[in-house]
This record gives sequence, structure tokens and C-alpha cells, in this order.
Amino acid sequence: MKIGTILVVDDEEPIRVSLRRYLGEFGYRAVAVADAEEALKAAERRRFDLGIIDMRLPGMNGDTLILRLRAMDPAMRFLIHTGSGEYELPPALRRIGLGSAHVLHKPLLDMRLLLDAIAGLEAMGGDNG
Amino acid sequence: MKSGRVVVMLFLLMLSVPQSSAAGGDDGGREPEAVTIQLKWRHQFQFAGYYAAIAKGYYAREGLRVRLRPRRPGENHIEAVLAGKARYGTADAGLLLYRRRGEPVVLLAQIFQHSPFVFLSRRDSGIIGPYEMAGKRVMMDAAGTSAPLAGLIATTLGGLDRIERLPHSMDVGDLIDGTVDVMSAYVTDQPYLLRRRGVEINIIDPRNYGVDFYGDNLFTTEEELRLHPGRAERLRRATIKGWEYALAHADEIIDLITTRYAPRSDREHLRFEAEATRRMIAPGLIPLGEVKAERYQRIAEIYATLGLMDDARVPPGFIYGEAVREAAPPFLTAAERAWLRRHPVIRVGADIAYAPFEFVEDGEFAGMAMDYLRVLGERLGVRFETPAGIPWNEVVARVRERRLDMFSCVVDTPQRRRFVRFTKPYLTFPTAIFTRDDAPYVAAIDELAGKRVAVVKGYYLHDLLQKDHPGITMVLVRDIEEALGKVSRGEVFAFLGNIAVTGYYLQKLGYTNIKVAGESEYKAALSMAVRRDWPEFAVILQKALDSLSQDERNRIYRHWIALKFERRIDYRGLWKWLALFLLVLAVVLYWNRRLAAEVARRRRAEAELARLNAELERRVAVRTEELRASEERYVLAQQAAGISSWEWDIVNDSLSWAEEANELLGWPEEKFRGNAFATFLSIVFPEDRRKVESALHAAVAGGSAYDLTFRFLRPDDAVRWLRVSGAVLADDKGDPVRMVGVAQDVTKQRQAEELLIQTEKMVSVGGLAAGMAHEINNPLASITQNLQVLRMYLLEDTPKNQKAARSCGLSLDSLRCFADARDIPAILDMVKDAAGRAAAIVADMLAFSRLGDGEFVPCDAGELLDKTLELASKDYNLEKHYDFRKIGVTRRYAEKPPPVRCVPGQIQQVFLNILKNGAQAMMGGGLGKTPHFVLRIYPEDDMLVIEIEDNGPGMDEETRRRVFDPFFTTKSVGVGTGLGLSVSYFIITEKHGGRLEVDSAPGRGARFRVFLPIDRPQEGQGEPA
Repeated sequence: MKIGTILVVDDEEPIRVSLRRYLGEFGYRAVAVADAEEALKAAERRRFDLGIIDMRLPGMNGDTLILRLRAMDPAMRFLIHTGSGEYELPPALRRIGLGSAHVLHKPLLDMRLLLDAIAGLEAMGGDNG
Repeated sequence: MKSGRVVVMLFLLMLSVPQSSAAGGDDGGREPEAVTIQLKWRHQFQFAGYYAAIAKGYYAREGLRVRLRPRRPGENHIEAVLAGKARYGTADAGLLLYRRRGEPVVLLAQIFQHSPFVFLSRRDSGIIGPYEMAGKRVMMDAAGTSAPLAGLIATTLGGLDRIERLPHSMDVGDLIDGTVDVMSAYVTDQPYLLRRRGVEINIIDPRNYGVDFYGDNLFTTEEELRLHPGRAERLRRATIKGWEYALAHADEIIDLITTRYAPRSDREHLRFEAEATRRMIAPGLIPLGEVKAERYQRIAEIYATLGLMDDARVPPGFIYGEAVREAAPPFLTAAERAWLRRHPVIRVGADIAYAPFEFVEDGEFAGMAMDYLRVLGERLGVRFETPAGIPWNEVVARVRERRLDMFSCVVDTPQRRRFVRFTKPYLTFPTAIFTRDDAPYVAAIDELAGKRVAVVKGYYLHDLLQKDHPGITMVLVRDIEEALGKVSRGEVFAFLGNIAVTGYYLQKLGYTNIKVAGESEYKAALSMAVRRDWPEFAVILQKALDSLSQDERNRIYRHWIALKFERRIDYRGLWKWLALFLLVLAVVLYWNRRLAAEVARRRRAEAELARLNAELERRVAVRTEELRASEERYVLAQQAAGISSWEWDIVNDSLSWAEEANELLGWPEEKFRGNAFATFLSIVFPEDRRKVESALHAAVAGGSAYDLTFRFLRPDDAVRWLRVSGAVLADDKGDPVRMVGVAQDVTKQRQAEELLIQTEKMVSVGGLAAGMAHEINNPLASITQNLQVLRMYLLEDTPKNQKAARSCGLSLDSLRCFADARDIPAILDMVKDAAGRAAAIVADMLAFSRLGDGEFVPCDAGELLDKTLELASKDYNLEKHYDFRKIGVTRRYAEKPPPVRCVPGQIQQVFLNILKNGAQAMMGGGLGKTPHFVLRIYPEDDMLVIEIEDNGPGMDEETRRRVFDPFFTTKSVGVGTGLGLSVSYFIITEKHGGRLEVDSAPGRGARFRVFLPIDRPQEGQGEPA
């Protein structure tokens, strides 16, 4: 399944801008928002093929956001973009098919990893796993 | 100092909550254990419960990742489990025969309450029961595999020879066309096939003749129970839940089978099988999984009748629950065991929102207390039932009314003692004062007087605060979530709560404006508590708690409370950077101060010791003169004390010592005849000379005692630590004439102290790393990721760039020409390198906190070293600094060195760090030598030594001593992170119980020696092969 639209969620502006611009250069239509609330609003207005989600967000955290977005749109896929060195996927996310291949660690010294991860998801077809 | 330490500890604890609410699941933060279940047939509804337990995450929630292994043609499913191809399996009552034969199989759960084995005959054959089968052609398996049918024939007709048995073709066609009169079948399966083909049949069911065998079960082996205690119980529990689900949602499981397991199945057939399966399992009548020893007794009797078993007894240990109950609690008296048998189910009252101790997730209780209950339940052979969905107030009321039997996790208060008996506390956590960020520090609860403080109604603090601090205005809330909401919104000034629990909810609810403002004198010491009229059980529970090993407790603790530095800092703005810097500085200062305080404390202790010693030595000195007469006794005394005596003739400046000191000092005594003072100073380690000199001067001038520990150099340049004490003897006029004393080699003690300090430093870095990682990684991501965007926008030939350039009247070529002219690509590279280095430091620091993982296996050290060398030689990206391809290597490995027990990845990391360090030193040394490594491997005592020697510039003593310090580096800025060798040190000493040593001197290269304990097999020694 082809990925066209991407929702970027990160509370740090320089990071979300870098992602939006980088992805934009490769033909993806990326929307970037700062927290879970905005993300949910954006997802109500239109559908996204992919969410790139920071885990530590003000208010609702990234885990919960993913589960909520997933409930709204079971076809939506996710990549986790985290700065925590010890991040481990919680079982609830594993259960919906996320695995270590879907976790990207900040800083992305080579952002082509991001493109690879997206390509990986496209190749997998319907589900995260 | 002390209070400072407490505050830091509180800080640590607050941050030490699992990362997210989801981590509350049983497998939170842990890799699930992989287990395989052997099925007794191919995929079909017969195994619906297993599919359901996988699909619904029941196994995952128990920390298990289950793989199902269908039976392969020609393979026996029970043998497969015995051969270790799977840890668990499904079988029918025939499992009993294996146990009888001495195979270590154990029945875990009885899933099918009845056997699906039946005989089928054509309706028109007139065969409607076993009595008509006499002399007929019957297609069936051997008696052992279709025991209920053989049993039916034996009990009704008197023997299997009464029918004509034919081997089973598995083809219903044989019955249809009359090749056989009767065939054995599964009532869940073949009747459907026959009916679909329009054949009317009779079903002859052994149950109608009193032969009621058990059907499918879940079993494992004694080895599994021994090696993984508790896992069988988890698997059993999840499997039963899976079956409950599967029977209630048959269509969903049929979908699952047709999509995932057996795509070509016929849905109608599966539906028929599902209905028949339900009748075999008989849910509602009999609790799923239940097994009755009496029924197996009856089965054993039939087996004996058939000559399949030599006697009609169920072998002990065959049924899991019994095995556990028999073996488990040796610490209980017979009366206590009897009490437990009378009370197999204990009803527990627990708090739905007291994470991480106990809380409800996905409709079920989880948490530390629940983990304790689970272990206790397994140990005592009772079931703890914890009804969910009851608010705390109601739980308390029910325990009081004895509608619940115990609390799992409560604080001991006098009020509660009226209706329950407490165990000793098994979990203890401090209670802290939580306020909003903007509130001042609160030194003690007293300062809260007159302020509004939230307290959860019914919690122990409610009682205590009322009594101890009546000045506080208590605002009673329903639960912690409500309390934190009130604090966050400013409706109350503070909340008093258990630091672990509150920390957990802070993280889960994502409050960023709440902090720990201070500590309180209260500690939540959490106990279990049993209804007052059950004194027996209170004793049993205490005994069971006492029987938990430290390891078991730690495992539970670590599962829920990971020591993590986690902190949310929002850093838009420079001052926040400053805050991070201050945080780092504060932690560093804290450690420095701690070390300083520790050193001061040791100094004081040493000073006291020195005073006593001096006094002792003064007496010794005085007595020495008198003892000259009994020289022999004197020598004996010295030998006993392990010390050597010396004497300095001040008048002639000549030094002499007892024979024992020769070996210690290494220098010839003659060297010190005359001019002894100066000569002695020359062999003292240069850095220590001044202190030795001034101490000696002071002793001679003031006639005071002398006691000093310092380093000296032996003739072979080895550095030794010496402790020397002595006293000055004066002549009649009071002039000093002689100094006598004792000397002792304390090198080993000093090394031990160094090791201790080293370890402390490591631990501090590890703790720091996890906390800082996130805070540094985010700004690093901003830098590096935008840098990549910048490079792409500026230097790459993309359609968007072309368009933008055109709109500005530029061409991309001219733009690139400009960028090159101004060296922009190189500037971007420099920024990128710098950020990459910062990222590497964070990654290296994190390596400390990750060292917990890894499996120990016996390894060939030479192989590991060679592999590492090969790895290193590929790493010439950093050719600015070193290039392995230009380094010579000589190997001197002992023939067949013994294996060492190690985590291969970690040891390779150590080798790589040492090799890199050496390579960098040799490349930068500029001594004109060709860089060369000598690698040696040889056993020494019970250790294997792996030696890596370089011919670089070597290091001075100061560098040598600090080379394992975190962040210590002599390399130019940017070459190393200063962590590689300290990580290595930690890996070898802490993780592997070995030693890492380095010796070196300027101009002589450096030799690192890794000592790893040799792996000696524990068993089988001295036995004939």
C-alpha cells in the first residue's frame, strides 16, 4: 500500500519542521502538529496513511495517541520517533503490530533511515507488522 | 550532606516509574518468553482455545510468545515434547501410559472433559452397539491410541479378540462401500463427512456404556516445571482463558482458522466441529481445565484391563495441581496444610488504582502486590481471587464484613487492626509532599499548616494526619488521579502520597507542573492483612512471604520499578539549556561532594587509627630497646603481624631493616648506608616525595610519631604502596638519635579502594546517562535533522530546488559554484561531525545502563579476539585518527586455552575499545615505530589472561591510574568519548567478575590485561566418559 499523507507529531518545533520539509522533498504530503490534541483534530478532518509520533508529548502521550488514532482509522500505520535512549515498545503497541523496525531513535544522523522505514511499511501491505 | 542525599534519592524515585501506563502489563518492558505447544493433530477447531489465547493477547499478557506446532505425519506428538521439540503439548488420556512407563510428563489442564472417540457404522448395517460388533470387521488404531474404544470392546465383549481388527485407512469411503463394518472416528469430525455424503450412520459412544475417558489435555514435562517455575501456571491460565473465549465466540475463531491457520478448511465442517467440541468440553457443567484424580483412576483401571498398564494406579506426580500441592510448602505444619486444603480459594480485596502496587488494567488486576500473590498462590497451592471494579471504600467495608478474606497491600494502622491481622511489611516506600512547580520547597509537613492538602479518603495518611498534624486543612479526594488534578489546577496546595504510586500516576497522566516539594516523616510500609478470625492463615501467609528469596523479590521489584532518570524539561529558550547544564553540574558536584565526604570520613578514621598506632608504636619503640635482649621473640612477633621493622640511625644517616623487608623493598640494604635520607626519598614515587619528606622532618624535629602511606618504586620500576609508621627516639639530652618503626605493603588494599571508587563512578554515569539521553537527543535531532534538510535544500539537484532557484533568477549550477567557493559543504560536514560525536557520547553512556542484558556462554577468547580484530580492521572510516590496516599484529595464543564464561558481545566491545585505544595511541605517537600489537592468551591460576600490548608512546603514572575514569581522555578533542575504557572496565570487573589491568610507562607502550574466570563445568567431573 502506497503512503501519501503523513501526520508528524512532535512538540519540538525544529524537529517537526525538519521532518515535514524532508518528507516533502520526497513527494509525501506531511502535516506537522505539536501535540496529541491537535493530532486528533487533524485526523478528524482528513485521513493519513502514516503517523510519525514522538512519545513524550505534553498532555496525552504518544502511546495513547497511537491507540486513539488507530481506533479512528484501523488502516493508519505508525512510526515512533523517540529521544529516549531506553524506549521499549509497550505491549499495547506490540499488540497492534508495531515492532522494533518501527521505532526510530533521535537524532536521525541519516534521515534516509526514515525513508527506508516508510518503504518497509509500504512493502508490508495492510498492517504495521 | 545527609538531607541533600535524601532529596536526591526522592528525585530518583520520582523519576523511576515505568515509561507508560501500558508498561503495567505483565510483560511490560520485558521480552516475552518464547514457548512452543505441540498440537496432536493439524490445525482445526480442536485447538480453538490456543488460537484464541494467541489472538486475544492472553499469552502475551502472561509474558509468553506461543508458537503452535502441528503434528507432522509419522510423528508422535507426546514423543515430540519428550524430545524437546516443544515445551508443552496436547494429548489425550493415553498420556497416563507414558507416565506409567516412567516418562516425566505432567498433566496441566484437562480441556476436553470427554473423549471424542466413537465407533461409526452404517445405519443399514444394524450395528447399533458394541454387542453387535462381535466378529465384525472394525477399522481402528492400536489399543493404546484409541483406548476408550478398546476399553469399550474389552468391557462389553470381554476382549479385543472378539472383533476383527483392521488398520485404520482414515478414509470414510471404506465404511461407505462396506470394506469395513465399523470404523473408529472422532465424533467432532467424521460424522460430518459422512452426513455430507448423504450416508446415514449409527454412532456408538463408549460413554453410553460407562467408559468415559478424558479427551484433550494440556501437558508439559517435569523438566519444564523445574527450569521455569511459574511459567506452566501462566501458560495454563492463558490457555483456559483462550478456551473460554473460543467457546463463546466460535465464529470469530473459525474466521481465524480459515484466514491464518488452515485456509482451505470448510467453514461448515468447522462449525460442526465447534458444536461437537463444546459438548466434549462441557463448559458450564465443569470448570474449564478441571481434572479429577478419580476419573483418571477409573481410566487407569481400564488400561489395566486392556493389559496396557501393569497395575491400575495413577502414578504420583501425574496431575500438576497435586504435584504442586504435595511438594510446595515444606515450611507449613500438617495442620496448616489441612487448613489450606479446606480453603482452596482466598478472596482478596485490592485497590483498583494503586499502581504500581495494584491496579486494574484491561479489566484485570496487575501490579507488584498481584505478582506477590501469584507467587504465593503457586507456593501455597491456593487460588487468590481478586474481584475488580470495587471502589476502595467498599473493599474496606467488605473485608470488615468478611465478604473478602484479606487485603493484598495495605498500611498497618490501629483502626485496621480491629478487623484484620497484618503480616510484616513486604514493600516500603517513603511518602512525599507533591506540589505545583511554582511552590516553594517544603522542609517538613508542619509547614503545610493552614494550607489545603489533598489526601485520599480511606488511605492510612487520612488517619495519621488527623492525629499528628491537626493544623492541616485536609481535602479528601476519591483517588490519586483526582488529587493530582486538584494540585495541578491549584485547588489544593499539596498532595501527600506514596512516592512510587504518585510518581507512576504523574507519568501516566502526563502532569508536567507537579514536583516533589519535600519529604515527610511517613513511610508507607505495605503489608498483607488477613481477616481477624483467620489467625491460621495470617501465620501461613507470613511464612510464605518469608520463604520468598531475595531474588524473587528483586524480580518483582525490578519489573515495576526501574531505576530510570526521566525528566521532562521543556526547552524552548536558552535558560532551559542552562537548567540542564546546572542539573548536570549539580549531579557532578553531588558526586564530588559525596566522594569528598567519603574521603574525609576515611581520613578521620585513619587519623584515629594513626593516633592509636603511633601510641602503640611509641610503646613498641621504647620497648624495642629493652627487647634487644630477646631478639628471637621480637622476630617472631613481627612475622606474626606480617610486617617488617626498620631502623634509621639519624646520627649516621643509615637505614637498616629486618630480613623480611628485603623482598618487599627489593633494594639492597647497602644502598642506604650513609646518606640514607636522600637515597630513600629518591625511591619514593615522585608525586609523594614532598609529603614523605615533610612528614619525616616533622617527626625528627618535633619528636612526634610518623605514619604515612605512600608509593615507592622498586628496582624493577614496579610501583608499590607502603605504609610506614615509626617513632623518634631521643638521647638523654633530648636530641633525636634514632627512628624505629614498621613497614607494610598495602598495595592490594589500595587497589581494592581504587576499584571501589571506580565502580561508584560507573554507577553514577549509568544513572546520569538514561536521564540525559532524552534531553540531549532532542536538541541533537533538531540540529542534525535540520542540517540534512539544509544540505538538501542547498546542494542537491531536486525539482523543488530548481523551481525555487529559477524564481530567484539563479541556476543550480551557479548556486553550487557559490557554495563550493565559500566552502559551505565542508562547514556543514563539520557541524554534522560534531553532532555525530555528541550522539556517540550519549550512546556510549547509555551502554552503561544497558549492560544488564546478555547471556553468559562458554567462549573461546582467541576466537573472539580475532573476530574483533577483523571487525576493527574494517573500521577505517575514521582514518584521520587511525587505520587498522597499517598495524602489524603478532599472536601468541596458548595452545587450546580453556573456555571462559562471558557475554560474547560485551567482551568484544571490551576488546574493540582496547584495540581502538591502542591504535589511536600508536598512530598519534609519532615515535617513528611501525605500529604493532602483540596479542597473548594464556591461563593464570583460575583466570584466562588476554593481553593486548601496543608499542605506542605509553602513558605516565597519572594517566595510567585514570585511564578507566569516565570522560578521562588524553586524545585531542573529538577523537574519543572518554567512555570506552571505563565501559570496558565495568564490563570486566562488575559483569564478568574478572580484572582489567594496564601497565605502561612513557616510551614503553601499554599492555592491557583482561582476566576472565575460566569456565569449569560444574557437573560430570571425575565421572567416566
